[in-house]
Amino acid sequence: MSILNFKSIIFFCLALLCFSCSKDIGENQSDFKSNIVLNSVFMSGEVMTVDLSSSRNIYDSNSKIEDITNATVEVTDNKSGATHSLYSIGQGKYESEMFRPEYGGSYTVHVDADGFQSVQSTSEIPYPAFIKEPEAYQGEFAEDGLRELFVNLEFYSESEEPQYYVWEIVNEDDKGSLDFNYTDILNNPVLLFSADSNTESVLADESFQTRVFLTNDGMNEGPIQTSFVTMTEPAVAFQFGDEVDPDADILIKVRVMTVSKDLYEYYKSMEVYRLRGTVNSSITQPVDIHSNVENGLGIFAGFAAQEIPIRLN
Amino acid sequence: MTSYAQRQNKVLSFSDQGLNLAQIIEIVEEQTDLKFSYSSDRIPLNKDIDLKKSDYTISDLMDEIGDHLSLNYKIRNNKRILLLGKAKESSANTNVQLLSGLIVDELSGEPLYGATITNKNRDRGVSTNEIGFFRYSANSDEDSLVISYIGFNPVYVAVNELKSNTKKIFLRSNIEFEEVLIKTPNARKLETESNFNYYLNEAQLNEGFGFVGSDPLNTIMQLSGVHSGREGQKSIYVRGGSPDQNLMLMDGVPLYETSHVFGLSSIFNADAVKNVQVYKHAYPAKYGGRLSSIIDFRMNEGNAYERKSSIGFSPLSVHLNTEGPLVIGKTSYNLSARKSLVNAFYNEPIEKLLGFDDSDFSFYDVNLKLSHEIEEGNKLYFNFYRGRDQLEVFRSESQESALGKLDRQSFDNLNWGNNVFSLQWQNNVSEKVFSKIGFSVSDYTYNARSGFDFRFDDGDVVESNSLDISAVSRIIDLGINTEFQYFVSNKFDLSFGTGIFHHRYNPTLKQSNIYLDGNGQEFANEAPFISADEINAFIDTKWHLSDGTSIQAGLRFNSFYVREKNWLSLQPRLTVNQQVSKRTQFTLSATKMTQNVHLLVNPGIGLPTELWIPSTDRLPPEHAYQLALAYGGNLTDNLRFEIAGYVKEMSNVVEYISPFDLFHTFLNFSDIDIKFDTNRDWENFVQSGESNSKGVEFSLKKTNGPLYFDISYVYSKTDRVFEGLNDGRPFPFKYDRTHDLSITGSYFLSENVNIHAQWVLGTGDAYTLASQGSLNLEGEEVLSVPCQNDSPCRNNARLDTYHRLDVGIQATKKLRKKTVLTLDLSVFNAYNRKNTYYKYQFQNPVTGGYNLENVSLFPIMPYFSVNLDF
Repeated sequence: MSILNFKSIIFFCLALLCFSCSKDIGENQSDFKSNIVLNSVFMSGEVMTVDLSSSRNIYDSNSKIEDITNATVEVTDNKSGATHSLYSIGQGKYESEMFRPEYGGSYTVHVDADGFQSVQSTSEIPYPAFIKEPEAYQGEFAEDGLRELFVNLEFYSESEEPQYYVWEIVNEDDKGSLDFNYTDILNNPVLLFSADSNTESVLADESFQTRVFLTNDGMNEGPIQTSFVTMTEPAVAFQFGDEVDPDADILIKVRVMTVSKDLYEYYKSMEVYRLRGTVNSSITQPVDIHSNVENGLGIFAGFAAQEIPIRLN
Repeated sequence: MTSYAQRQNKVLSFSDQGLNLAQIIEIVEEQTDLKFSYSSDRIPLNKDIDLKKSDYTISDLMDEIGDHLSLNYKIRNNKRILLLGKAKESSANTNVQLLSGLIVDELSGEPLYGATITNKNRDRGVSTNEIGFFRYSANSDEDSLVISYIGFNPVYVAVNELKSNTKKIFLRSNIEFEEVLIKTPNARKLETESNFNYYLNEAQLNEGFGFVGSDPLNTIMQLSGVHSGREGQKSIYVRGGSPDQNLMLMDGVPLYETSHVFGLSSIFNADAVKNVQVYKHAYPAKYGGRLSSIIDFRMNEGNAYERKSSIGFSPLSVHLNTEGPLVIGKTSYNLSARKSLVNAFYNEPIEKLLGFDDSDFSFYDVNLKLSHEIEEGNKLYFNFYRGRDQLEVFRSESQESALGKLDRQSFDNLNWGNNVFSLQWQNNVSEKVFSKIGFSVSDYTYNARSGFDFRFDDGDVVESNSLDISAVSRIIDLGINTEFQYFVSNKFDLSFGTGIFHHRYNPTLKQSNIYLDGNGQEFANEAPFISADEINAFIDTKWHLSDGTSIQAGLRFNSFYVREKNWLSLQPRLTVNQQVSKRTQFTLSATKMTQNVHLLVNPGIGLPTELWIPSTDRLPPEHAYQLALAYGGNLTDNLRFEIAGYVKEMSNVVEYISPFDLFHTFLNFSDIDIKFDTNRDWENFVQSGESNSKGVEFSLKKTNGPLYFDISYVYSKTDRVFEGLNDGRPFPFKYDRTHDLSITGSYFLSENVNIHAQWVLGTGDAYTLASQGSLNLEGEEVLSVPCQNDSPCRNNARLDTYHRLDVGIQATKKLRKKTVLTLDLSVFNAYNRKNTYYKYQFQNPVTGGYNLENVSLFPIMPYFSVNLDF
């Protein structure tokens, strides 16, 4: 090995060091490009509303989330091939009174807007699940005045495709709206004590309380059977201290949404996101909120909803 | 000249005139500081010399010896006497003779592993095994052998002396001579010659810089192709692998956790370590169980002839080492112990930095090794290690407002440690077979406990909640292993062996007590042990085809039986070495490695919990295929270079897919929501995928003093592919380090004082930054990762480029004949670079804007240590 070769090696090393570089992508991402955010959940027989907005770079103070009002929004019924235009009704919302999706239908939405990459998404409206009349019984009063309510639920579906359910327990004071707003997790806790192996709560187990349960039959054949107990509201509202009335009726409702897999994953990821909070760091993985919108963000999904009252005497 | 004259004129006294040459040499070496060098086959050591008088000067004595035995002599460098004589007549034996011997250090009696035994022409040779044992097939025309070992004087041994039985051959360290007075780095990072892997001796292992001074693992981290993880930690990443893919062996026993105090120090006490071999490619078939590297620590056996001790002190720990003979020349011990002083020096600044009310960081470890020579070539070893770490932090906070008073308290407790016990019997079974039989037990335990109390008093109602969670992870290994080295010829090495292991894994044991509004709930979820039985067998051959070419081929079989599932693997290994010129050679290797355990590292920012999990019926073993090429050698007598490239594909590597923390209270105290997932069924939270890595490595070393340096640069790329992550597209490995540069140097100002420095630079770690805001179904703003232009969504950002300079000075002073004081002063991060430990993102509650803050943990940090050897 001559000294010339030695110099060549040194030169090569230094050249590689100087001219090679890695791209440091930090918070100042100059190549950030805003995306279309498309949100729409729709039911059979109801007007489909598509909500469009833009995404923003959170580290750019000039970057804002804005409604997209000048978009072209078309929804295609994949079974009939018919295409329906949706029109802006303000605040980034698009609707058509002439178009109402149906159970079992498959729909594709396509959105074009100036300054954005076109987006599209496809979803179906699943048929509602058959839910067997729930069996419910009350437990004994505990020392603290709480009274346990045990409920057994059983879901059926004739479909051969995997079914996805999102369900929660509400009391009679709720207005029965199906918006599934997520309030404080401890406001309406439910303890799941005997769950089908396919029942997930994001808090994830049989030993802790949660509000929203996610169930799918993707792995098991036959009906999904699950049992839960609620100890506080609504029971506590009726059964506290001196006001205990053992003859009082207790009414709770189980709200069940039969959803597409995408919507199931969306709700699941949102639950995780909420639990995780905005804490994020370089040594954690941020929660990936599920989206089925190609080239964009958001969720486009159909669902069927039911409410099952549980009344005890 | 004065010194020379003094030596020449010094009068030597001989009480007995009837001495042979060997006895005379011994007397001269005792009475002076002169040393003799000679070839034993040319010098008649046993021949009696009838001295004519009782007192001689050196020159008179040597003249008389020369006349008497017809020898010439030379005195070199005022200190060494070379005896020059005629070669003995060669043996008349025309048959090939099988010779054996043991090469040991003359001063300590410890075997010299890797010493070379060659003929006089140095064109045929073998090397010693772990206990210094060798076999050599001598031709009829070979009358003597040369025994050499780095740092020791070569010795010539007559073949006749080795014929009858296994002879012990003593080598004397050459550091006593003036021309090599400057020790150290002369032999630093000497690659195991054949394949560009690394062999580090005790002195070299003490050279590495660290946050808290030298540490054997720090030295390893400086090797080309090896880099560290987060600053201050002892996690090692080798060629795109993760920390769990390094097989850390302590006298052959695999270890799981190898760090103290979150990695500020390793569990390998420099006092207790004798040497280490590091393999990043060309793995011998006897090793297996991890994908990326083998780091084989051999512990000190202790001096078999004299008792030695040392005591050292540093702000991190106080350490004590003692070694010596139990039966002189036969049985020796080495006992090392360390106890941390972290509490005394670091607790207060840590509490201030992290806002703890109280904290406790401490560790200790003990190493004991006993060795007993039953007879030459027949040795028994016992090794014991116990280490324990303890971390406890407590925080409390009280807030008062118009709404009421809020009191919050939290605590976190972690402790972990290893117990290791091994017994090994190494025996020269027959003329051609050498055996090693070992039994080992290791017990690794990891405990974590965390909790908080929350009490809110609005004047009318008191609301109180509390949470108490504990988790235990434990692994117990029992193993028996055998290895046989069968001597075929000087040109063909054959070894084979087998091992049987029983593993008991308890990945998690949980207990939680939750009190909400006064309602207590207790949950105990005792996960059962997972038992696994492992059987492995290997055969390894090395064929020296010619002087410059050798092929090493091996095959390893592994069976891992768990939950009625038997994972089988065959792991072929092939390495070709070819000498290119007198000074250079290349190595080509192709290997397959299999790993049956996986490490899950908590992805959250809570406690840095780690969970070792076995392969199960649902989680297959990991496999790695590596093709590596290395070329290098000596550019000049002082400069050594190496260029290496590799391609490595790994399958079934695991990633934690859950974004949850195991415990979420540590750094997130302000958020009092209970964010705890009690059902941490790890099999549901991991995913298997692939990892692809490739890179080129350059290194250049100056190996002679007084100035030494070592420059290494690595350009590499590691991507991972998981079906359920990043839409199945490749994304950078978290510890993908595109550029990794390390420059280390030392300069000896004098025999006893040297200054040293190290500068490192590396690409920042990859991480995932959610920087895009958008509205969800409920109209709330949520954050997501911008995945544009096909750039990866996962690990889409990089931390700032990492660089750091450490400097230090080391001085030694001989207080008495055998008492040496060593003082180390060093400065970690000399220019106070605020390297990013991690970044965190938060939303300003007032403006609603988001900020990304850097957290830097290790500023400029002076450090000292004092060590006394006696």
